[in-house]
Parts: sequence; C-alpha cells; structure tokens
Amino acid sequence: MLRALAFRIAGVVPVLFLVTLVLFLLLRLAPGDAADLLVPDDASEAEILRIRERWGLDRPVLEQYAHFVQNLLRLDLGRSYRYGADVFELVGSRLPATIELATLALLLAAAIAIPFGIIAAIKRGSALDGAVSVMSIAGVSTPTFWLGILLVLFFSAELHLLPSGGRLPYGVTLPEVTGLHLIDAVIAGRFDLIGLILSQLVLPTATLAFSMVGIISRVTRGAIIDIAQEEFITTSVAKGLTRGAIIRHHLLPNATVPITTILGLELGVLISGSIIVEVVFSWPGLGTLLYQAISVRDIPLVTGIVVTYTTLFIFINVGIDLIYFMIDPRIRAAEGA
Amino acid sequence: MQRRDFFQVKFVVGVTCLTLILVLAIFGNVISGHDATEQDLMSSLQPPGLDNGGYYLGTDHLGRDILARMASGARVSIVIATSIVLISGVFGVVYGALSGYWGGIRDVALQKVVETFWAFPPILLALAILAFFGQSLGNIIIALAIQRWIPYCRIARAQAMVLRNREFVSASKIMGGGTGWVVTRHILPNVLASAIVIATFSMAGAILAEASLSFLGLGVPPEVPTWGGMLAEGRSYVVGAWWIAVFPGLGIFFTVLGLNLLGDWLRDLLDPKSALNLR
Amino acid sequence: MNDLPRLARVLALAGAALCFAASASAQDKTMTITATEPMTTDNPYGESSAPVYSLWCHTYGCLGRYDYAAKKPVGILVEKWEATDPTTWRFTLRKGLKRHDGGPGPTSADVIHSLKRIRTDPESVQSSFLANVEAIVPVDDLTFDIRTKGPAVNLVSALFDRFIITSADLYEKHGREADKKFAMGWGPYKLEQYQADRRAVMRKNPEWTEIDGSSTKDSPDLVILQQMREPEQRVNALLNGEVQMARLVPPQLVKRLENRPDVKIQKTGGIEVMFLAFNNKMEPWTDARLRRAVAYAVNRPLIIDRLLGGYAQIQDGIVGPNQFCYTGKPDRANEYDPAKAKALLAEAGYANGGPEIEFNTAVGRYVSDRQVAEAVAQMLRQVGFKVKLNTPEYANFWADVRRGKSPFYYMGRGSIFDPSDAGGQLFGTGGSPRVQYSNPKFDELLSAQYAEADPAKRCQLWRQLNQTLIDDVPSHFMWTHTLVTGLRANVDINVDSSGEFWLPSAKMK
Repeated sequence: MLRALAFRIAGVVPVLFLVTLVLFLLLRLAPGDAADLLVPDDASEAEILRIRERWGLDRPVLEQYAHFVQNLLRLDLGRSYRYGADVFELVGSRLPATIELATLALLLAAAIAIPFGIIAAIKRGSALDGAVSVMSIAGVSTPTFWLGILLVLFFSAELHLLPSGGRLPYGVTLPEVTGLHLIDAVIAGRFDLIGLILSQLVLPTATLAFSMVGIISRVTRGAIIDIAQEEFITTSVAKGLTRGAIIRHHLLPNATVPITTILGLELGVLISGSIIVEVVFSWPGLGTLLYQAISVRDIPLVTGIVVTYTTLFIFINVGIDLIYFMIDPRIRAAEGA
Repeated sequence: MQRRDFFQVKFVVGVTCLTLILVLAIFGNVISGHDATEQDLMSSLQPPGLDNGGYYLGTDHLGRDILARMASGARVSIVIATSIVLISGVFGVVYGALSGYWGGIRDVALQKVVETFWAFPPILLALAILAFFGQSLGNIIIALAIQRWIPYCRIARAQAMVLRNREFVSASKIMGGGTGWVVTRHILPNVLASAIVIATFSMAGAILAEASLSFLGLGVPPEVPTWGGMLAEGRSYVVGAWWIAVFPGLGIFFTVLGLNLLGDWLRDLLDPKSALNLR
Repeated sequence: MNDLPRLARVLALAGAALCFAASASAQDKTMTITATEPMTTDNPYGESSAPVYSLWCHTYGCLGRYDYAAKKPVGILVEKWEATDPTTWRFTLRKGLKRHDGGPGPTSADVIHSLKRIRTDPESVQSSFLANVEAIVPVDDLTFDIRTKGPAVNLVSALFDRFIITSADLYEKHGREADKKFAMGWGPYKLEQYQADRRAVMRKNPEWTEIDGSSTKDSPDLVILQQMREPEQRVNALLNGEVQMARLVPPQLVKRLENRPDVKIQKTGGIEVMFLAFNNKMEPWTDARLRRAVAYAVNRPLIIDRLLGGYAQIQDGIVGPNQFCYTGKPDRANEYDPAKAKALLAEAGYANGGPEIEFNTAVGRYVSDRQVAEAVAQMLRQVGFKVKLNTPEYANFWADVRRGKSPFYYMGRGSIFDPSDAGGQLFGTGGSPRVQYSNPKFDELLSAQYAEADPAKRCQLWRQLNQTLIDDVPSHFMWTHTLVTGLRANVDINVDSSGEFWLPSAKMK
C-alpha cells in the first residue's frame, strides 16, 4: 500500500518533465515572445533586441530548458518577466484564492447534487426525477460567464446585497496563515470577518458550482441505477431487506467509485478551469495569473503555474486512487495481486 | 405503468426538442429570408416582432438577423459539438477501458500520458493550438476534443478495473478470449451507459466551451455564427437587447434537454435488465 | 473589589479608542477607481502605460504634466523650463518640497539617477520616450540641462507625465527593495499599498501644495486603484457603490448608467487614434489606388452612429481635434464614397471583384474592435474586395504587426498628443516595419518640425504632414473613441484626453 503510494508520488517526476518540455517548445514556437509584448508601442527595434538578450530569449530553446530544469531541481522556478517577482512567491500568493473557490464550489455542488441524484434514482421516473433532470440540464447549458454576469447584475447592481467581486477590501487586515480566508479568520479568531468573507465568496462559488451540479447529480443517479440492477441487490430485495437498509448498505457504498471519480475530476476542472469566473469576479487567483502570463509569453511564470497545476492534479489523482482502494475490496484485491 | 409512461414521455419530448432544432437548422434561413452574415447597420438592435422588416427574432448589434444566425449557428454548433463528443468519447472510452483492463505497468504508463494532458490547463492547450495552427473550425474541434476525452477515460478505466475481476470477465478470459474480444464484449458495453451520460452532457459542455473561448477572445473565426459565439457577444447587451443572447441560450438548452432525454431512453433500451423492469 | 471600576475604565477607553478609530476612518474621503490596464510590478520603471505612469506620477512625482483643459504643460516637480539652444532644455526643480519620509526634496542628482535607472534597470521598459535624450547635466542642485541628440521642440511633451523621478539616496541604500519598502517620493499622494493585479492605494500627502497654490482640501484622502478588467463588472461595481469612478465604459453599457440619480457620466474626447493600417510594401497594398479604395469604402459615420453609440470622433490623418496642433479640418479628406472605391478597383484591374485580402484585428483590446472589424469587412466586400477576416490572439497579432508581417489590420495607437514621435515611428522612412511607408517629402517635413521653435509655424508644418498622410493613405485613419467615465454623484474629477486625471484637483463630498 505504502509502496504503491510512494510509486505514484514518484510518478510526478516524469509527468513534470514531459509537461514542461512540451510547454517550452510550444511557447517558443509561437510567434511573438515576451520581449515583443512587454515593451510599449513606441519601443524601438534595438530596445526589443536588448531585452531579448537580457532575458536570454535569444538562446536556443533547449539551453533555456536545461537552465530551467537546473533551477527546478533547486526548487527555484525563476523570475517572471512581467511581474519582476519570484515565480514561487507569485504562485504562492494566488494559489490559495483559487483553491478556496474551487473547494467551496465542489462542496456546494456535491452537497446539492448527491442527494438530488440519489432521490432521482430512487424515485426514478417520477416528477421529482424530471425536475432534477431539467435543473441539471439548465446547469450544464448555462455558460459560467453568463451566469456570473447575471448574478452580479441582480445581486450587486440592482439589489445592492453582495459585492460585485474581489477578495477582502482594502483596510481589512487578516493575518494570512493558509491564505484561505475562511480558515485564516478562524485561526485569527476574527469571527466578525466571516460574514464579509462569505459575502465575497457566495457569488463566484455559486456560479462555479451551478455548472457542476448537473453532471454530479446525473452521474450519481446513473451509478445508483446501475447498481440497483445488479444481482446482489435483487438478492437483497428477495431476502426482504428494507429499502433504507439496501440504500445504506449496498447502493451507496457501491456507487462511491463513480461518484468519487467524478468529484475528483471536477475538482481538477474547477482548479484549472476557474479562469472565467476569476475574470468575471476579479478574483485574484491562479487562473487570471496564467491568462496574463500566457498573453505576454512570460515563460517562467507559465511554466511555474503549470508545474503547480501538475503537482496538484497528481496529488488529487493519488487521493482518488486511495479512496478507491479503501472503499472497493475488489480493487484492493487486484492491487494486492 | 407509470414508469412506462415516463419512458415514452422521455422519448416523445426528446424527439420533439431535437426535431425542432433540426427544423430550425434546415429551414431557419428559408423562414427568415436573411443571410446569417449579412449586416444592416441601419437596423441594428431591432427587438423581435412580426412587423419589423422580417427580423422575427430581432437583430444584433451589427443588424444581422438573429433567426438566420440561430439557424446557421445550429448547424455549426451541432457539427462542432458532435465531432468533439465523438472524437473524445471514442478515444477516451477505448483508452480508459484498455488501461483499466490491462492494469499493472501498462496502466501506469498510459495514465502518465493522461496526467500530462490533464495537467495542462485547458485554456493553455486551446490557446496553443489556435495560435500555432490558426483559427478554424477544425482547429477549434481539435483544441476542445483534446481536453475532453479524459472524463470518458477515467470513467471507463474505473469501470474496467472493477469489471476485470468479475466472474463473467474472468470466465471469458479463461475460455481464451483475447484482449480485444473481452474488452469489446464485456467492458465496453458496461461502460456505455456512463459514457452516454457523459456524452449527452458533454455536448452542452462542448457548445459552451466554444462560447468560453469566444469570451476570452479566442473563439471561432468572427464571421462563422455559432450559438456559443452569439452568447458571448450578447453578454454586453443583456440590459437593453436581451434577444441577442436569450435565443441561442434557449437553443442550447433545448438541444441538451432533447439529447439527455433521448440518451436516457436509449440507455434504458440498451440495457436489457432495465428494459425487463419496464415491461 | 476595585477591579470592577478599573475594568469599566478600560472598557470605556477601549470604546473611546474604537469610536475614534471608526470616526477617523469615516472622515477619510475614500475614492475607489477602477484600473483596467495590467498592474504587475511595484518597480516604477517596469511598466509603460498611461495609468501606470499616472500612478507613479502622483506618488513618486514626475517633472510635470500636460493640462489638457488649459492646453498647456504644468510643472509638478519642476517649476521652470526653457530651451536654451535647439538641443538643450534647462529645467529648474521646485524648492521647498519634502520627501514623504521627511527627507530632502528632489535634486538634479535624483533626476540623473532616474534616467540612469530607466536605461540600466533590467526590468525597465521605459527607455523609448527618452530615446532622444543625449545626457542630463547638472547645473546646480536644483537646475539641470537635458541635451538631446537632435533638435527636439517636443521634449517637454515627451517627458511630462512619464518621466518618474525617484530618490537616488533611497535606491543607493536599499536597491530594488526601495520600491517595496521605501516607496517614498515627493508627489501629492503617498503609496500605501501595492498588490500586483489587485490594487494600489495612495494616501494624500499633507505637505503637498499645488504649484499654483490652489487648495487640495476637497480632494480625496485615500485613493484606491482597484483592478477590474471586465467592463460589466466596472459598471456593476459603480452602481453598487463599491467604486466611485468606473473608467472606460464601453458604448453598449453607457445606457445602464443613464437616468440614475446617484451616478453621472463624463465624456472626454480621447487621443488614442484608431486606424486601418496597410503594410505598404506587401501586395496588393503597394498600389495606392487600392489603399484609397479602402478609405472610400468605409462608412465611418455609420459605424460611429450605429455601432459605437456615437461615442467616437472622426479622425482625418494623425492630427485630429484632440491632438496638439490641430488647425481645423484638412483641405481634403477621404470621405465615404463607394462609387469612387469601385472605380478605383476597376482602374487597378479588379472590375470583376477582388483582390483577395487578409484583414486582421485585435479582439478585446480596443472598444468594440472585433465588431468594428466585422462591419469594415462587410463594407469592403460591398465594393468588391474579397476579405478574409482574422482574429488572432493578441500576442500573435502584435508580433506580426511589429515585425511587419501583417498586411492589413485594425488597431489603435494610444496617447498621440504631440504626434512627432508616433508619426516618425509609424510613417517615417525606416521608422519601424509596421507600415513600411516611405516618402521623402514626409521625412523632410517631419525633421523640419522637430526644429521649428515657433508653435504657429510648427503647426503649419503639421497641417502639411497630415495632408500628405491623408492623400497617400499609408493608413486610413478612423476615429478616436470618446472616453466614457461613470462617476458617483459626490465626486468631481476631470478625466483628460489621455484617460488620466490629476487627483489634487478632484473634489469629493
């Protein structure tokens, strides 16, 4: 078990090399480099050349990559061209905002979707099932940017109930320990701030969660229905077990594999896909930073962010596998074999 | 009895939705009498109505007919979404099923590739592809399909991991079934239900993903009408000219609704056990 | 037993302190302004955009600014300037200024340090506006000469609003850390916080007096520049009272601010010139008839009226109504005339349609850029051009433009007030590969105006230069966008043509 885990974590290394190498090649093959994009309109050709030279953009791409790997081994991601700051620090300052948003959105979506999915499966064919279907379809057919814009229009501009975006306003000081503001407020004992923090989280979280509710509830419903058709459930029914007991002891544990899969998958999507919500709500997260970095071909920053994503995702993956391992004896048996 | 009715309701409503969309796609331009890309700045932002120069669903900021754009957009969006779902679905399911069925070192290696793809932020991939190969429908399809096969793969792999140790699969193996045989015979049919659920949802996702690219300024070429692109453009007119975005929004909704209902129906039909339940 | 009253006293004191704190911050007149350009680095020389220059000009201080309302340059850190010979300007720094930390006022040494830092700091991207500067020579502590490489009557307009002066002393002591921990200068506001991509916060400098002695008591005490890139969000935040000033409201959103008692709208003619640029060395644009046909085919008034909500002003040539040296309408302009466009195409051999052209536009960079390009493409098709419209990602678009690989494109050039440098770079022979226009007459007139000290004569030269650009159509000029700013009712501030403002003259109730 532990060996398998260590093996999985060591597996990060080849993926990291693959990802960063592809990235370097992609970014260097694209027309336009950072030197073109960072200097103003009126810069002369000579100045662009000088900047290119200063950042080593004129050297062969493999040499640049070797340099990058060398630094990476020392856990140094380099300096951003655009921000003039250490990439590690930049990523560190943005990552918590994204994680906070993604995790809360996933929790919210799961809290709504899983019960709905179960109900829909059990009451399959009822009006309730239909209502859940329509709601989840509404969820997946609404673009996040639309929902975000409409929510802000309604709750901020018209009703003046919630802020239109951003994280903590200026003047509110909260000692950052984890960077996750809700947790930091609890650590610092600033329970007075929780209302404020929640008021800023509610719209972006709801926007992100809305699109997830559909797919999670559908997968839950599908999984439960699939398992309900298995022989052992039929046997249980024949044995005269109560409906509640069947759901608790047979349906739910067996439906956990697909549900976990989809939750893990969606967490990944949320973390790397939060960019649109971050843009709409001026949320200072990693997504907007990546977008900025790509748009000026800031290679150290783009690679730094992608390295972070890769590492995160692989840990999420390992987490999912661990959960499979714990919940499903058949997989456990297979791993052991 | 009740279930049976619902089973049929699903089919009827699903077919109705999709038929309406198909009618729109095929006859929309005939009804409207306008061309989807023809601009008429003098009649920009006309509200929907019957007596406004034949712009039944109104016009957008460039004075283009929304009905004609809905119709052309339906064709383009359906082509985009279907191609993405087919490419990503088939590839993802086969890849995942094999990976899960084989297990061991082959699974690890295949999953490394998955992780590499998964780790790439979707926006970066899309940007890279569109930047290097240019903005065309084909490239948009590739850019979006490349990031959308992973869910199929994950689900298929998870199911395959469970299934390969089931009695009937083991039995089939013992009886000398090769990988291809076992996978197509036992794994794929069992993955199909989940794959259809994902695929029907993924259709909507694909249409919207294209909208999101447009939102970030990377979408389809500017003069190709798509529902997603119309939605993205309509966002700044939401107060004052709601029709620019509401109609494509409804188009997406009803397409997805129809696909899902039909998907459910198909699933029930394909699955002998549940079909028995119904009768 | 005594404890109870003591506790009460402590509580009362604490309460008083709280009240005091609360009332002190309530007295702060706080003005939150949306920022739309990237704010990426606290290095005052690490970005080059008008909003960023404005931020550092308010905090560190710059030589001076251009007052667009009064149409004259105004000193900030300098009080006097004059040309002593065609290639030398003498500046005198203000006396009696104090640095935010109580340190000495700006000296010639600080100015020289700032020039050196702009030219040698590895993160600096600002050296272009100083390209013509040969050297800065101190005369005494408060007086310095700027020597230029050639005649430069436009030096003041090139340096003002941009040349940020930072303390030599603080940089020597702390190096790059000075920008983070000792961001102290002499400007009317003191930097209180800088968070990349989020906000910059400035507090009023109590020591500051305006150069003309006018009072700053009504200006905001605390100014927060809050990054909001999406126009929808800027408008919503203004309506919600989160910000007092929403900048760059696009035409289609202006309606949402109309008829609201708590919000007002300010319109300013801009100086970002939008144009259709041809690469004059790429086929088919070597043929002037085709360039002219494009100019005749595009119906600018219609686009402005129907698509831009009327929020743009037609621009003929590089010098329009909002630029320096505008001397009224040009003698000839390329007005919309599709018949003439068709005739020119026929004359050039395309009577039956064509030529096939590629047309590139940036997306989301300028007001309604993609929509404008779509409208233009259709108008070109109506006279016979076969147009392929491309919307490449901005980095690619820009790289192609900069390297002279884009044959035909719609874009803007910001902050053209004195058009000398931009005119030279875009249209001078060898200025850059972007337009590849070459006309000896234009070059000659352009260098003549650099040396013409008499403003009236210089503006006459510009009238000729402008007419040359209109007649030759190396690019077809379209318009300048009207800058629309949404303000809360309790705020009075003038947004100038560059889109910026001077906070000490802002008023807030």
